[in-house]
Amino acid sequence: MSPRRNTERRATASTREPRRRPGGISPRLYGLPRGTTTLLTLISAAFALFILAPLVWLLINSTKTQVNVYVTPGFWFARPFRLFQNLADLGRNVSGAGVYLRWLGNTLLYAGIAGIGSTILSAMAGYGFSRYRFRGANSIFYLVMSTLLVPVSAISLPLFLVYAKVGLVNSIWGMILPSMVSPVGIYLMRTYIDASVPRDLLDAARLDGAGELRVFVRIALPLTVPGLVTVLLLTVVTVWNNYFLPLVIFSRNSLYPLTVGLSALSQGAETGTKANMVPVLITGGLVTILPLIVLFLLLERYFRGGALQGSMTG
Amino acid sequence: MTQGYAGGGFRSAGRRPRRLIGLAATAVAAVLLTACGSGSDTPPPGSATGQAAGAGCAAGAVPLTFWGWPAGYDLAVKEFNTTHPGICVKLENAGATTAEYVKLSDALKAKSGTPDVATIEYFEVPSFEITNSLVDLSKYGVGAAKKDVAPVAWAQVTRGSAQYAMPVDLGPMALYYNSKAFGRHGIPVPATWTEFAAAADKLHAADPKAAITNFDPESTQDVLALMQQYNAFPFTYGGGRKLGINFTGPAQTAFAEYWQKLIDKKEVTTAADFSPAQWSNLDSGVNAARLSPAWGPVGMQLNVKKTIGDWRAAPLPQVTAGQNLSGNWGGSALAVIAGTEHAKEAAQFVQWFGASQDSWKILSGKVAGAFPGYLPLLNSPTFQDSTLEISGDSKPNAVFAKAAQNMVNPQWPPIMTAALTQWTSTFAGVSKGTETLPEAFRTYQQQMVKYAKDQGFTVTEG
Repeated sequence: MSPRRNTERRATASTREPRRRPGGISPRLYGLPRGTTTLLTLISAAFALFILAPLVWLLINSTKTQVNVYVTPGFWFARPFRLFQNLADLGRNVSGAGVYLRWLGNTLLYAGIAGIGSTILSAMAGYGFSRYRFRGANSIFYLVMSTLLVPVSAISLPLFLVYAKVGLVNSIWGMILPSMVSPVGIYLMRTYIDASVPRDLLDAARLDGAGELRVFVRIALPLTVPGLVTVLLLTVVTVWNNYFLPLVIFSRNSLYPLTVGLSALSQGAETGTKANMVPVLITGGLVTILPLIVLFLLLERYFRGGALQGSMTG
Repeated sequence: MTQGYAGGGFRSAGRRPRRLIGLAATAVAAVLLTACGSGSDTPPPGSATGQAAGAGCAAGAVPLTFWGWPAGYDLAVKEFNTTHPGICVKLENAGATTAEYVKLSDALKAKSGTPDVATIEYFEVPSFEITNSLVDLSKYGVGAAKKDVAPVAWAQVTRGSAQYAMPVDLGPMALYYNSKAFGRHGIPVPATWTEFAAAADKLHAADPKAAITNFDPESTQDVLALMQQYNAFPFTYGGGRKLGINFTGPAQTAFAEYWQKLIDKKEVTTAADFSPAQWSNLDSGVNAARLSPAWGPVGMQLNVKKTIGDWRAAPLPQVTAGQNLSGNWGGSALAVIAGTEHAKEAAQFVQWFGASQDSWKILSGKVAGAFPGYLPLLNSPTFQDSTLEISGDSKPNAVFAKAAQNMVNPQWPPIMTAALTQWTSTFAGVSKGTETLPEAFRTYQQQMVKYAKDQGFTVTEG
């Protein structure tokens, strides 16, 4: 663990260096007139508001009763304060639609396993495409990339039929296995390794007698930590938000991830059933996004390091 | 109601399936497939089996899988399992309405993973009937329940001597109005649609912010229910490959022009049904009435505050004075799905569910709050005299129960899934104000006729 971190720190530090140098950046940002910077700031502030407003709404309304969600101002609190009861309701089966906490657990499981699996597979595939020459390498790479072009709606039924044949319907593996293969992850890792793992270094290791596996695990991987974290984050977010695949393959609500579970709740709440489902829906929505925010905050410096690294050296 | 499903789906679903193909080619997957082999058919530790509603059945009981989403069905299933030890029903929520139908038809095509029993709304029954996906219940003696089921519900699930589903609940419509707002502006309860338009004029003149009701052009079921009541139901279907579609006849055009006029004058709002805007309009006095299905008030009283106690039910305004027609919005039936190995037990279950005192005690209770198509309850004084907080000491159920007896059977076409999807996009312009309702009807007529012909139907227009 420690050598990777050191490499990473150095990489990040070096890209940040120019900012710290006195006089490196003029107080007038990149020499733009003050009016322009004010305008740009205002525009970004407007975008920030646009993005943050729904989150603020979620936060405020998760403290309300169902009726207050509808009849009190959306951006201010109302009595009674029900946040804790709403949170407690997440552990109950409010309407027969299922238990929120179970869906949260499922999502964590699917996103966790798929994220780690996808990172490992992408690293291996990206390394292979980047550092080995073999017959058909480019064709296979383009084949992998071309899969991005097929619209998923066109193949939902064939997908289901295949799943039914191999027993992946209502199986957690039906969700996890396909999520582990990420063309974008492979592309990112290939580009990243192209840019940040010098061939000479690998050759040097080979000369010193390291086997291919050892070269990959001990030399290449530690140099690609920011790339790995990027792929991990991307996959976790994609699986976390994935709606279509679980919708197609799961018919048991005990297997649902949050996306499908919440939409089931939403349907129930919309069509005017009697249970108080709206607060669960809103509080559930809030709790759904928290883990992603935490994950981003924890891994942000790796993620940013990765993005910058690519742009500087590539 | 269902567009959220499809819309949300395609965005994030980007690249899954190709991954499967990619995966097959990846040698590394071999390791994982080993894991899959042991896990594929079993749910993750401690899941499904332990918690589903069927838990705790006797060993040797006939297992039935039941797909259903309405609230409170789990409680009724539990009751059935307790009182019928030989059968063990397991309830699964496989999604609501269209989401479930898509899953069901996928499973039917795959001939794998179909439930024994599924909740199907009345409008969708012909779509599954025509693909031979439903078991004819008449062979299992379910017809004995006919005398206990509202005729309009029974008619929607039968064709000739065949019975394709067991009706459960209904959604007859009535005018559900804010008596204080009507009183304040001196508006009499309208008996005809002409009087209703006059009431709308009067209300809007007195309070320019107010609109008598909400008309959501994008809500297919709502609009079709109102058309049904207006003698303008656009479909005719009697089984087989012949289908009538008519959105442009005199009655349909009159219906469209009637509502467009109110929309133009801003005398009705066009918020989405069940949206926060609709609830706050009803509570703030912007809307003085709701054209509400029978199951509406129970949910509505959780969503309004200031006007609790002010709402009264009256029959829907009529096209011709002296008539007494209503339309149906919502409600569903239970169908036994083809391929089941336990059709007899499934038939016994659906008959119990739709037409027994025991099940209706739960279904009409606080959690489920379904409106009965079950006559012994529908006609009982206890049910008709019951009160709701939102309606003060009035008896809305009596009005809705009467409406349930006054409905013409709508002949649902076997292409409702496509009809619902197409409706939302065609009618979006009406709520935005970029097109009129008669225009949308004309466009929709062409789209539906083309679709039905492409599907091999012989289409009659007009």
